Amino acid sequence: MLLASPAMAVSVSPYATGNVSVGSGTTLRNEFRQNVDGSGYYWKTFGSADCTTTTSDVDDSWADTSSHSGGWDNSASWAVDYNQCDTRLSRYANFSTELTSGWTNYGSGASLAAINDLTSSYKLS
Amino acid sequence: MRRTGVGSAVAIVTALLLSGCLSTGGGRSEPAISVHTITSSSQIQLPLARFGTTPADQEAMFAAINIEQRDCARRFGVISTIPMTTDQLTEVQSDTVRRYGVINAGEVARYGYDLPPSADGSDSKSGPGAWNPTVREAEVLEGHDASGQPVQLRAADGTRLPAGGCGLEGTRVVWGGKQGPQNDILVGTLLGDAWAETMADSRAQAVAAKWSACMASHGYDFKHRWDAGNSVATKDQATKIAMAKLDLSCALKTNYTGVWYAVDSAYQQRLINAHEGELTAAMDQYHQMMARVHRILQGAQ
Repeated sequence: MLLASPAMAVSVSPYATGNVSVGSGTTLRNEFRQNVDGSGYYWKTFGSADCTTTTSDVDDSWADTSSHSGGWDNSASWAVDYNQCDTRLSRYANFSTELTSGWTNYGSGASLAAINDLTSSYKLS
Repeated sequence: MRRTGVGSAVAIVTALLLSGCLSTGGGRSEPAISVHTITSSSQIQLPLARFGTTPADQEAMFAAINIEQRDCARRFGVISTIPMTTDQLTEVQSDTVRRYGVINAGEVARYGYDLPPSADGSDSKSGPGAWNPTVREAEVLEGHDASGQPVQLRAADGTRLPAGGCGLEGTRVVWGGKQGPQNDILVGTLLGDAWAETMADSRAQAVAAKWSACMASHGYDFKHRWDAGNSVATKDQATKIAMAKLDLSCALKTNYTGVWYAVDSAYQQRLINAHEGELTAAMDQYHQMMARVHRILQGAQ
């Protein structure tokens, strides 16, 4: 697990080693891909239903992508959220150092631009 | 798009048949492949696809789950407005379109590396169909309050609100237990395994080298096809579209997608043979779930 202050060097490991599905249910809430062109391994989050219109609650979260046996720390370069969910990405585990200001709707196939390969935790609402 | 002699040659459907397996010297055998020219994602039919949930079955499953979620909520005194999940790409669909990089020229010219709006999960919270439950409904359906703490509620008959609320309970009823059919999970895992095998395959690496040479002739130094997209991640959209168009033109000239699809398909078939028992068991679970789905839908009519 990477627990780093912003001043620490980031342990970059942009090479996921397998597809990962997390969460309970069948409704796809978000998807990360290894590469900006959408190729490579995926990380998918599933829930029991669409996200609600409010962002005052968190519908799903993952505090440390490196804790999963897929090599997924700092590996996401492309993200989409689905079914009314919005996203908050963090550079470090446990939602430390958010990469965007507030909730973002990655419903447009947005590549992660300046935060390429720098996501270690995330929330969905 | 500029075409070259090589591009014209691969425009004709060609087949390269290699009989038997190739040994790469490291004890790794490479399966025979049959290569065809691929210029559209609609030409890609992954061998593992037949073990994945179909779009029609997925729609039916979501309808049945929605019925059960609302029935559950009613037992806890709530008339639920929870929407049925719709238009969700299946496991196989979502892993087909971009498996080998961008491929559809019309989409690339307009959207570059981004997905077209029809496939991107466009989902504004203010759009039609967005779910805006009351506090009580949200607690019953989600099983927790706004701070994430589990809520303790009982139905009129004394039944406790299940973990995960009625949202997850509806899913469990359709699954027939705490765990759903494993077919999509197994398909996802095997698609990942096939991808790893494909990346290490000598034929896939050879065509990747040809693609690299094509990109080098335009002044770019990329080893892997995905390096092109990743190199413009922080650039403006016009730059990304220009790179995506060049990336695709080199892929078409070298039939990169055709070769990777052929190699990937061969490894998928090998994995299917190796995991036949697991896949059969998962499909049995899937068919049992679909029978349950149809009973629920018929009962609701």
